[in-house]
Amino acid sequence: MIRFKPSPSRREVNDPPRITMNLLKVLVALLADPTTSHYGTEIGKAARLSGGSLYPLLLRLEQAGVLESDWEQVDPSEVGRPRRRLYRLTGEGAEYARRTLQEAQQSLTPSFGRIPGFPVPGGASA
Amino acid sequence: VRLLGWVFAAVVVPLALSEFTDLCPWIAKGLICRAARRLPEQERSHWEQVWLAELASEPGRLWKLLWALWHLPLLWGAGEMGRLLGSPSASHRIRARLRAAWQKLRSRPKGTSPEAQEWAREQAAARANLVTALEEALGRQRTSERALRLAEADARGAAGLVAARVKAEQALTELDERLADAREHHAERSEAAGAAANRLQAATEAAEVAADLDPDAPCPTCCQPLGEAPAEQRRRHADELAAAMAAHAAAVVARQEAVATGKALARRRTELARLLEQARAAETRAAKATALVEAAGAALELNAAEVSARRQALDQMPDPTPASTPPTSGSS
Repeated sequence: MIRFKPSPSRREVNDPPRITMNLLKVLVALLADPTTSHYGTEIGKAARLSGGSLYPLLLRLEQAGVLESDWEQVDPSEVGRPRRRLYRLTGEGAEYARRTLQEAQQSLTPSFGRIPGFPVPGGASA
Repeated sequence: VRLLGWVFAAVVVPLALSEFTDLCPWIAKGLICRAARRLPEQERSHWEQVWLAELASEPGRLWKLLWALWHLPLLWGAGEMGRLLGSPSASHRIRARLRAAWQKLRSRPKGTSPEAQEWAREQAAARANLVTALEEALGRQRTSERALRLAEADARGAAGLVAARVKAEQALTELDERLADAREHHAERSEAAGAAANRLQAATEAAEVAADLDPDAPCPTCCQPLGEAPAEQRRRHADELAAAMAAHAAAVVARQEAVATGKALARRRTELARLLEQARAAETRAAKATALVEAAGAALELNAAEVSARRQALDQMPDPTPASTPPTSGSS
C-alpha cells in the first residue's frame, strides 16, 4: 500500500489547468482506478499520450493539487530497477476530475463526439 | 559477389544489428538527459530520475529506444515544464538580454572625439592583453606551487627510506653470517652422519662374523674349544651395533634439521634481498624528488617575478576610458 505524505499547500484544487482533450484523456485514465497509484508511462499508455504532452500535464495537475506523487515503496535491489514516481488522484482531485469530465461531456457538440473512455451519463461506456 | 553477399548477410548485418541494439539504452538515456537539461537546475536530477526509472521498467533494449522515441516530444515538453517550474521563458531571456545591451549602449560616454575613442580602444586592447598574460602567469605560478607541494611530499619520506635501506642491508649482512654458520653446521652434521654410517657398517660386519663362531670350534691360538667366548663376543657386538644404529639415526636427524634451517634462512635471504631492492629504488625516487623540489622552487620564484612584473605593467597602464584624453596625439 502506497502512503502519500499530506501536503497542506496542495489540499485543494487551485488554479486548475486549461481544459484540453489531453487533460480529459489523462483524467479518464486516472479515474478508471482512482485509488491506485500509476506511473507516468502507464498513464501515458492509457491516455495514448507521449511524454511531451503527458509530463507537463502531470506537473500542472500536481501543482494544482489534483494529483499527488511519491516514490514507489520498493527496494531497487530486490526489483532490479530504480524506484518509479507514482501518481494518484487526491480526494479533491477525484471530485474535480469527475465534475470536469461531466461538464466537458455535456458541453461537447454531437459532431465532436465524446471523450474516449468516459462513460456517457446514463449510457454505455466507450 | 555471391560469397561477399553471403558474408554480408551472415556476419556484417547481425553484427550491426547487435551493435545497434546494444546502443539503444544509451541513446534512450541520452535523450532523457537532454530533455532534463531544459529544466531548472534544482529540478533536473529529480525528473531525470523519474524518467530513467520509467525507462528501466521497459523490457528489452530495442523497446527502450522505442520508448524514448515515443517520448521524444519531451525535449520540447521539458521547456514547458521548465517554465512551470520557474525558469524564465525564451522570450523573457531575449528581452532581458536586449535590455542589458540597451543599458550598456546608453551608458557609453558621449561627446568624445573619434581619436580619443580610437586611443581608448587600443589601450583597452593592450590592457586586455596584459590581463591575459597576467592570468597565464598566475596559472603557471599555481602549477609550480602544486609541483612544489607534490615534490616536497615525495621528498619528505627520503630520510625514512634511507634508514629503512640501511636497516635492510644490516639485516641482510647478519643473515648472510647466519647462513654461513648454517652451511658449516650442515657440513659438520654430514661428516658426523658419514662417520656414524661407517661405524654402523663396521658393527654390522663384526656382528655377522661373531654370529658365525662355533662354541665347539678350537681356538686358533691354544687349540682349546671356544666355549662361552663366542656368546660373550656376540653380546658385545650386538651392543656395539645398537649403539652405532642409534648414533647413525641421531646423526641423520641432525643433518636433516641443518638442511631445513639452511633452506629457511635462504628463503628469508631472498625476501630480504627483494625488500632491499625496493628500498634502494624508493631511495632513488626520493633523491629525484628532492632534486625536483629545488627545480620547482626555482620555477616558482621565476613565476612570482613574472606575475609581479605583469601586475606592475598593468598598474602603469593609462585609464582606457574614452572620456580620458590620450597623453600625446598619436600615441597608443
